[in-house]
Amino acid sequence: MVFVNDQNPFDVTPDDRRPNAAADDAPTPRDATTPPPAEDGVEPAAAEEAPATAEAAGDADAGGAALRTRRRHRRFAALGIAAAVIFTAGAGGGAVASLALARSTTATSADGGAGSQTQGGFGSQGGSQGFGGQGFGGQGFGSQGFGGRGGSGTQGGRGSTGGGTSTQGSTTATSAQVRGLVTIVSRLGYQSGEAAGTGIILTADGRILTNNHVIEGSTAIRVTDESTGRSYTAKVVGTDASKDVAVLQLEDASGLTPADLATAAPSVGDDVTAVGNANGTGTLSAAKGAVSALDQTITTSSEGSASGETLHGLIEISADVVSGDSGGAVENADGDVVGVTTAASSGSADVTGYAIPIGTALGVARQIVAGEDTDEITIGLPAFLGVSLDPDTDGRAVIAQVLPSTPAAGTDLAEGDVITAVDGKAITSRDGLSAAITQHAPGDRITIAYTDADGASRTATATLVAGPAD
Amino acid sequence: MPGDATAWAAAHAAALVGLPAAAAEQEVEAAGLRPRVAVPGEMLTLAHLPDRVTLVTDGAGLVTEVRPG
Repeated sequence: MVFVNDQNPFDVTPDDRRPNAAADDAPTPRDATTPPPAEDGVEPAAAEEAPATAEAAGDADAGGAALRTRRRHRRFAALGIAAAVIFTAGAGGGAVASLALARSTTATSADGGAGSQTQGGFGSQGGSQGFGGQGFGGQGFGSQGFGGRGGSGTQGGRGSTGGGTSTQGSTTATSAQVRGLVTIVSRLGYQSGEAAGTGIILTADGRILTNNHVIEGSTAIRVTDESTGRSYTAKVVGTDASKDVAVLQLEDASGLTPADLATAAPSVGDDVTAVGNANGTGTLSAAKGAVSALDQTITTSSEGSASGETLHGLIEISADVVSGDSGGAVENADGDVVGVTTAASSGSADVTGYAIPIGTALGVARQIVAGEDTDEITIGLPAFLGVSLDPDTDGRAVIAQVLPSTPAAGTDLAEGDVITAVDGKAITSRDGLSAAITQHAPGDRITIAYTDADGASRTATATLVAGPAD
Repeated sequence: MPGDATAWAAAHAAALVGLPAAAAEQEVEAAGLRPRVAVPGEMLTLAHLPDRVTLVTDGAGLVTEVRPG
């Protein structure tokens, strides 16, 4: 039995005076250490954030100097993108490689779980129809023309190509199912790619709940309200990678219809519908199923660079969820959101999906909106130096690559250099460097001591910028 | 520019199914796409990457499904 009140219980005032992430994370004006982008038309994070940052900074001015409080990021943010680059180099074929958004997960427990597996597997060829694609190209999104969705297709449903069995795919979501949901396209500037997912509208002025892995590594985010078709630029309010939750704020948004959120957990056997941006088509689709178990734990295993996370208390569902559904809604029979679609099983014809209970996700969202910068939560965007580290150097912070158009690129740091200290504090490990960077805020100027390839001790200074989403 | 995994997977899935995962990975990479190999019992986070191809494998390490994204 599910008790709902058909109200969105997200009670944080959208216009609270907590500083907007973009405003706080505004890098100081660029200098020679942060040259403009030059590679593949990809803007670095700071550059793409610049217009919004200026705007938000204006808001901060209006709100008073208190809004400029500097944030300190304690999570290992900088190396997230750094490691991604390491794997890019190892991918071969010139292809962009594994990245944070491509984590895989491994189920580690399955307690409980009586429910039925009513959904069939991935339909053959189902995914090949109706993909209009969600391009970045076209019309005005920042300086790169992060354009609107291309084509509409005919909702080819979900499914894989080849193999598996096909039974009951999905249907185009109804207007009622679409209400309160958005599609999300994250531009992964440093990884030359993009990622699509789904989000849940929390407030009328555009606060959005989604999975962290949908926006992790993003340098720009485009969100479309699927009820109205209006698209918005989004800023990262904050993230909690350990809970796989992120909160976004749409710019210049008003009058959005928040989702109806259930206020009680579902029960095993309840009918549910997963609504999401299946296959990244930009059109929401719905997959029916049932709650098959509660309180599930899964452990994400890293794919490529992304570190694994253990997620607890998940809802297990039998709906045919597929890529693109992350961040989307698992709705009960009344159409109220009971969970946030996050993962699905692999290797079986019967799809098992996992969703974060909406109450859990909202709890994290409230912390984020309240600005609780903790070991797990990053508020806004992390400080970013722009180096990747060699993973095969017995833990030392050896530079594998200096990313172009980053603060590091404006220094003499080079591949093979060993970073030995930041601001006078000894660095003896990769994690140590990451921690040192994430203690800073964008705009901070740091001094880096390092040993170059010739064994000479040197120093460099760099002004950190706001990096990709954590 | 990332490739279109959907179109590529539709065209090549039949040839990939039954291949060892490593061989299929090479095919995906050779097409300029990013492979993701999923072994039985794994789960996948569900962001959609338009240039990613997920190769679902069986216990013997052979590809059983090819999923774009």
